[in-house]
Amino acid sequence: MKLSVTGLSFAYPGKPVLQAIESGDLPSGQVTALLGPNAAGKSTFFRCIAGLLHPQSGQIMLGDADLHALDRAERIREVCYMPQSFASNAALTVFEIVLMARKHLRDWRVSDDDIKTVSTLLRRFQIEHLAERYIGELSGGQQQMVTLCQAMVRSARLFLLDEPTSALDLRHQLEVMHTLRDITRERNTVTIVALHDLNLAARFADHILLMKAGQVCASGATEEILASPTLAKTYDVNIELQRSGEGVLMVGASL
Amino acid sequence: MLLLACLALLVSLCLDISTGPGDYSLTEILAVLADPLAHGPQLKVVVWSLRFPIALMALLVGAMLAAAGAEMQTILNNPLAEPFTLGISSAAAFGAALAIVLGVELLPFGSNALITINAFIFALLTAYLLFLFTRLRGASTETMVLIGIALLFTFNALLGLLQYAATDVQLMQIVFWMMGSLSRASWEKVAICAVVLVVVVPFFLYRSWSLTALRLGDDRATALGIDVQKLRLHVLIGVTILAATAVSFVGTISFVGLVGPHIARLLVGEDQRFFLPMSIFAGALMMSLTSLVSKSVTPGVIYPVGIITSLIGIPFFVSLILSVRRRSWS
Repeated sequence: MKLSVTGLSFAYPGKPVLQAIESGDLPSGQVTALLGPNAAGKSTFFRCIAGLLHPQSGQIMLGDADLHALDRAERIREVCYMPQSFASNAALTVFEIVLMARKHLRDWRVSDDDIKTVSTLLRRFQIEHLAERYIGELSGGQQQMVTLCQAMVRSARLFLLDEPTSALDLRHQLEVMHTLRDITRERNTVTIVALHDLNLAARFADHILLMKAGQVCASGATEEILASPTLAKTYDVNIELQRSGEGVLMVGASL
Repeated sequence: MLLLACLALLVSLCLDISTGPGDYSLTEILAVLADPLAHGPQLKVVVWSLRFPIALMALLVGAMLAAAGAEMQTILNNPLAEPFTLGISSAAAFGAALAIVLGVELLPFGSNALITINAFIFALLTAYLLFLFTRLRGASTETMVLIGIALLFTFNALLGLLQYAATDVQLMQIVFWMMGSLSRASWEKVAICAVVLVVVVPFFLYRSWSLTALRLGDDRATALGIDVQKLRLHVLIGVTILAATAVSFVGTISFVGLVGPHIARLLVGEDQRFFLPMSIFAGALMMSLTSLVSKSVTPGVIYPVGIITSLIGIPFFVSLILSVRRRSWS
């Protein structure tokens, strides 16, 4: 299975955002990093795929399924989109928040199976000790982890995660990306993660999609994209690529 | 928890029925409730025609206002929201005042029903105006609150104009109407309130996951597959029907719609499967106790419940805020 987006264009009234996006093939079982400077259209791209915005043209194929042809409920089941916002002051516990996504907003009964799935996932992201705490009492980073769990508890085939590590400390960034990569392999999903940290992308992504000004400038294997001059041009910086002792690429950037 | 709440309601209801002008003991009242003619026809009238409908009305109105308040706070994402935030009560008050002062009839009914019906129609009209505006600008919380406040001030100004033009007797009537009183209860009104509750509350419960998700913000609720705007409008319709019915029958009773949900939130959090029923219980219990207090402060005098709700509700509420450390909304 793979995701391929062709000719996707989207404009707000009088303001074009995405112009003829060609994603190439984004294979399942691999983590794709969506990179690009601020206001490149990354979130809009996600929203178009998730069906929250309606693009003027283009085709989005997930495996054999044309996403535009699915109705709202089917599309929500296939595609899980996690928006950037994670702050909340609700009097809801972490467990309740993750559970509600699992229930797909249907069916009042909560089975033992639901409870087991939720607690397993919380354990996997190492936030089970927060399960009974109210979301409003948690720190920003903890709230973001909850949001991520809320996304990953769903059984979609395509995950679109918008900057899931922006509020996390160094250790949690690594742990989260590690877990995301493992889950992607296990469930064989297409996982696209919008990132700002090129080193996280270098370490964990199999594939990179590079965007600027509403267009895709490059799409390909991580090493290939990181090594190409397009990257430096896209961010308008100088880029120096090194390999660490354990063989992982490291990206150094300067003005 | 649920059983406890039901028991508290039942006890409060019985106590409410047994207090009032005339010295009847609790056992006498209970006997009459079980068998209407147990203590002669006079007591039957007192219990079955006067006190029982009033006591039930208190429960139902409390439940309606609290349910409306709970969902208003949810869809507007605002802890200060209550059924009347969006101008629904001031519109109802204006409608009632219009009927009192000008005798303007929107529907040809008897004079007593006129005030009630006028109030109801104006409350619904306000909600409809709100719909029209949100059609134009989208149903975001900001738009709804701002337009609601504009409507609130508009109707308050119009109400002031009417009060200025009213005679002394009319003015007294308007003021008394606005204080809120359960004495206008009757079996028909009890039945109407019960029907409204039975229709609207299951709808809220049916959408409970979606409403819970709404508290995470529009963005995340949308990502979970909720049509946020549609949900807001549907729930607003339900809230309006609840609030308009309550306010047109008993006048303005503030605070229950605000505090009922807050008590529920402190007790069970905001998972709507528990939050909404708990709000309803809290509101119903509060109104029932208020009705009880309004009769027992000065023997022989029944104070308007609208005043009592605020007077006993506020200290209770403040102590609750201070004693519970959890802070949502901050």
